[in-house]
Amino acid sequence: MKIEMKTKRRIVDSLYYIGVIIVLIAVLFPFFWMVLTSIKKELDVLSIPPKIFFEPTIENYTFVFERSSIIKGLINSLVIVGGVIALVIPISMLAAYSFSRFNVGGGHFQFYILTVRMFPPIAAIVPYFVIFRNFGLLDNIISITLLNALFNMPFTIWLLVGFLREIPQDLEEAAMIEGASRFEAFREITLPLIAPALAVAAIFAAIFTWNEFLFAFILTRSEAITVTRVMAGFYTERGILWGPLSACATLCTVPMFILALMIQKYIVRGLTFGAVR
Amino acid sequence: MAGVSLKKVSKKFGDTTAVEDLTLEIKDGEFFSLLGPSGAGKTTLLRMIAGVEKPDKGNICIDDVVVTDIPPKNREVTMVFQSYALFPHKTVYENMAYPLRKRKIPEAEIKKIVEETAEILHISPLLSRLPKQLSGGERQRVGLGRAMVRQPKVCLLDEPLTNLDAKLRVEMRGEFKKICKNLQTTIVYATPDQLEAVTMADRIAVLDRGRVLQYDTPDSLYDHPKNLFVAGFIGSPAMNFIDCTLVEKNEKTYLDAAEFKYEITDKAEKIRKKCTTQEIVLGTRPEDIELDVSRQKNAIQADVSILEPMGHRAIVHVQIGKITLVANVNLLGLKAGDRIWLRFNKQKIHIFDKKTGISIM
Repeated sequence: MKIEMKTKRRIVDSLYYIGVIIVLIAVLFPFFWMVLTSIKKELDVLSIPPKIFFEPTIENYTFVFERSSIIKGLINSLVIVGGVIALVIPISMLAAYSFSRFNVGGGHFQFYILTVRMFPPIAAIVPYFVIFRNFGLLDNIISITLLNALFNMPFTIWLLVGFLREIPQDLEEAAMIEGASRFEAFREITLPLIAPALAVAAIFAAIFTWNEFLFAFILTRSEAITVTRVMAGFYTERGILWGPLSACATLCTVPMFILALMIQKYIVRGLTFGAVR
Repeated sequence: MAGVSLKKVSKKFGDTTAVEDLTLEIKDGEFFSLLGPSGAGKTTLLRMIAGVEKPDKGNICIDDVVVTDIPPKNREVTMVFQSYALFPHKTVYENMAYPLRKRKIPEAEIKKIVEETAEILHISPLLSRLPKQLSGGERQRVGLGRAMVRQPKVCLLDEPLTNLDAKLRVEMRGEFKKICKNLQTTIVYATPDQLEAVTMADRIAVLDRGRVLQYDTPDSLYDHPKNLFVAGFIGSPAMNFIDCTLVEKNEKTYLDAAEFKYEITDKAEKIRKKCTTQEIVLGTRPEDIELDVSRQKNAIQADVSILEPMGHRAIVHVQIGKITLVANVNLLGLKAGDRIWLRFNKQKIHIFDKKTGISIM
């Protein structure tokens, strides 16, 4: 009997690992291919069957740096993401705290904010264009930052309200009884415990904003150009410039990659505080 | 040390009334227990005294100062929550030091106080650990330690022993009483366990559904319960209640319980005066029932149904027809199915008006 169980478990485990490997390949392959394409010569890019062994080249990267506004796009996008995180995290945290601890609006207000998330952004694009144009806000980093912050907040608020539910109010009340004001209790007790959730919220907001294309496309021109628009520029009348496009995309992935690696440490550290009870 | 008084305090949560028109005086320095089943309002009361919950109506005074609108941090009370509410991201030392830090006490003195308190509670080796590394009993002592370091005016405890296993609970009850005595503050202790309340408190308030039914010393509650609820709640095993009707026959008055009649001619006058109805509940504690194997004068015939031996005493369940009574008597060599004769201790019977539930005598 024992041996049967052991073999069964080994089979189940192997199936599990095979499944994981398949998913990993499916997810990582496009990325891998993109990087590969970025160092291929033009001829190799479109060859059939696809080439795995070839002579690498950096001509695509040079093309990107010389012929597109990649530097400006990267800087702009970084600034926008920074601005969005700086706005979204504090505001969502306080809003989520109010909803969770004081039940502001009796649940209705919270629901209203959540429904904004269900709103298809494309439906708002024309009104926003008109408003921005009339106020002279087109092609402006600040207005794009504010817009992205606005559209990210419902999600982060919802996320943080969920995490706050896991932190018992007992802890804050105990702190207040022992001499803390409400804000001190929030800062010294709640905040350290919700830090991993804040890191998660920040990453989501950052990635959504970095990848955001629609608003960037319609509402920016050359000053506030974002990485998404720079990439879109490689769709030309002559055709899609796959090589340079892949190079650009690879470059644009790097900052988010680094950010995720940096924040990951905080998420892991926070989670090792273990059960809150 | 300070007295606490609650004057006509009411609190509602949506449609549920947690506390209704409640008035209570807790004396300076006493160990006061709030006793009652779940939902009685004990936790709500504690939270209102602490200041994390505001009463809808009424006032709360600590040390004769109205504190109803004063925030918790300025009330000089401390509270041990049922969940202990230990800060999970701080060590035991940091948890206990927190109240002192908030008062800007110098670091050296904090160290001294925390270490002394840890010594009293036998948790000195745990000071550098995190709460998640502690057992239930250890966490409870840390919670108590955090409450003790400040020497508050009032110490509030919300069912601190409930989450411990049975053996630990009995151990801690004794230790608790000792520690609390040395604390020299007013203690308000909420519990659903009448044994805890009776063994530890100077006075007890029995609560049910947001109202105080009686508040008195444990002995008074035991000997003179004012109503059915208190009578049935205090004392273990619980008091026996027998539904009777007041009848008169041949110039004698009886309590007719269908299966037997109990003569109470000498008390008839008093009963008739105070009672609103002929429906009476006769109450007698298990320890006030006498059992005999041979027939005695005025004894009632009964059969033993269940026997629970407890050392040299036993809990005996007897049947008088359809009525079941529980008696707590010396072991008489009885066994299930035996026929015995029982008598009630006339000095110790309780008579209640069935309609109002109030005790008549």
